[in-house]
Amino acid sequence: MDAQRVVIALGAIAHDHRLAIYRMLVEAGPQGLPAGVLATRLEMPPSTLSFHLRQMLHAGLVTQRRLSRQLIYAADFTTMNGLVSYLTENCCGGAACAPARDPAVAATNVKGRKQRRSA
Amino acid sequence: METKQALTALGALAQETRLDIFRLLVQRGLEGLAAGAIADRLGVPGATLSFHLQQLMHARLIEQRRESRSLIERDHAKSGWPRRIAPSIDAGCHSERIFSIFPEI
Repeated sequence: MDAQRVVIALGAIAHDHRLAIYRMLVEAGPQGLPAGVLATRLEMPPSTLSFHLRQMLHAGLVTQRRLSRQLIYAADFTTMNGLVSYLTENCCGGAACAPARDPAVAATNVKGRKQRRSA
Repeated sequence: METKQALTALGALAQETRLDIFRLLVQRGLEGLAAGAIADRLGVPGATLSFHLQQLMHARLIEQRRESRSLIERDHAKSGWPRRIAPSIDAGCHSERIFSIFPEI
């Protein structure tokens, strides 16, 4: 994935409605969901949903297919994997990364650093 | 990751210069880079870099610490860059932070 496509894709999901649609489609998996089901589950008017889905299609985040009279949308997992790979490529120069911290521990560490700084 | 935080992070990264800065820092790891070194490597003017670093810090994607004792830092202190920037460690590995934006991976 090139930088321009990554910026377009990130920009497209940096919106509360589109992030909600995207997360729901990611959870639904490759089989996707009909537009009507998305509209119902997200309590979004069909015209609003359709507007956001167009933006997401343009950004390559979702795919669209027709099943008789229904439009089925699915997350494009190739794009999603491409985004994650782009952002984390050669993470920590290939060395082992720091383990995830418990948020409470992290908060304590922040406090600790601040105290050391002011000392 | 909360939705609001995810949106801020995604929005912060949806800009080419910030994306470049973030990737450079991810590749560097928790050791981080001095602000001056980031400016040199990416060819970004100091004021522009400062602006973008603020946005990335606000999104909690990176953090800044002072390391005035290191030789490198002294050099950068002379040039007005006494700061070292690294991916945010409060969330642990920054890769995990990115993965947390994307569910089900």
